[in-house]
Amino acid sequence: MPTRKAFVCLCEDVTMEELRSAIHRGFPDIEEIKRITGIGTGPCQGKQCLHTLRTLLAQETGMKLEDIPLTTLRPPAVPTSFGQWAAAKKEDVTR
Amino acid sequence: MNERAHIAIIGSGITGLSTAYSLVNKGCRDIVILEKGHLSSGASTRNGGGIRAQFLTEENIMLAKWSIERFKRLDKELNANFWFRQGGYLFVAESEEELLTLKKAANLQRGFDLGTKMIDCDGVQMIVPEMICKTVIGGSYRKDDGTLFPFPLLFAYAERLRAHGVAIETYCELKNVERSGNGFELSTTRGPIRVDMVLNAAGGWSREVGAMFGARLPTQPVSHQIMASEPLAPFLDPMVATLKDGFYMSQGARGELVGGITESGAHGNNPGKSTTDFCRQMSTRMISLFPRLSAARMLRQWAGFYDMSPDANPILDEAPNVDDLFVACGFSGHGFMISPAVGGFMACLMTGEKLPFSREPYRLTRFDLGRVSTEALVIG
Repeated sequence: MPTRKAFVCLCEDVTMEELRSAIHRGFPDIEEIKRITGIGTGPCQGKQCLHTLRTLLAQETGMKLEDIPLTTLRPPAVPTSFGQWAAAKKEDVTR
Repeated sequence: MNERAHIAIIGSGITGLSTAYSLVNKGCRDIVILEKGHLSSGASTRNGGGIRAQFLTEENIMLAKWSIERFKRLDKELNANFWFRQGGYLFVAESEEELLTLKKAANLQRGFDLGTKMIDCDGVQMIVPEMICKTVIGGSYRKDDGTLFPFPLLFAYAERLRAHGVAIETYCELKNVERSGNGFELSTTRGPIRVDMVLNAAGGWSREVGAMFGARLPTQPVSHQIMASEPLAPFLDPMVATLKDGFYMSQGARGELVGGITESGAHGNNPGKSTTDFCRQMSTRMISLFPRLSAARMLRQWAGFYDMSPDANPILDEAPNVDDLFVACGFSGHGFMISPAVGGFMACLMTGEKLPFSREPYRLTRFDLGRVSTEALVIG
């Protein structure tokens, strides 16, 4: 893993050091780290950073990468204007 | 995991953590918190952070008033910044009936010296200049209500509790309960533990956990969704809530709007459930009140639940038919904002100390006795 000042989450400016600190403060869980550091909560919703975080978690905790899930996927897939949502018909957004 | 503890708390949400913190402050440290998911994985990490004392029952007003005073000092005490901001809380009425509800609430709150004001449409417009008040006929406003950011408070509690030796066992689900002498033998997915006393603070799972102990709880989880926008320049000082459809919205410290709206027929405690129809309903209402937001973007959305009790007031009690089982549940969407008072109350109840409030209105038996006063100001 790169140096401690490297940015992992470019949307929310979360560094490698902040992620390591959360893990070692007793929160070695992807959902907990997301809530402490804000990683993955910006415009890209974790599409770039959460896999890096999984790899870091595996290294730091000894867990297997496949045992570390991603956070829950939610709508919207990309930031979407309130006007666009409001213009949608009910049948457009329900399955 | 240790095989023995004096007290087990089921659930690491705000209620369990706050009660554990109050117990630790009384010198009671032999505590284990059992959590089936990650830390505070139920409603506590999914709520909108609204803090208010504007309620329609004395039960909630008392707990909320006490808690707001406590929030003011808790950040220094825990050395954590959870962005507690008293930006005010505005309830909006769009019909005479709704206005009457707010008047009733304001009259009741007068007895508690909360400074709640009834305001007309112009008054609403003054407080929220960006809002289109075409449908608004009035509202109630309290300037000392506000918002906080839940996560830093939860994690600060957890760190402080662990520093005092409290064990917080995550991914440790309660599977079975046996009575054993004066205590309980608990089986969990991470092994057995024997305890003298249990607090059921399981939120959306409180009914199931109660049933494991043979205690019937009339609580029921109802699912709710919530969303956040991209950061916007500050324009909204108070939390705004409408009685008509449970719409609420506040602006956080980084400029993001956070809010939700009532969805009909949503039940269950599955926080994984998200619907795009919620995004549509929320956006439609938001734009009708704040047309300038139509070009702003929704960044994310998530789901949680309220642990509803039949009268929407909390149940704080020792289970009437199960000795040494304590219950703090049924918060009906208000658990976070009243958690400091609830933690203090439950810690006194569990250690047999003098209670800060009367026990009677919070008892479980009130439902059988028909002594209920229903809280109508449930939003979201």
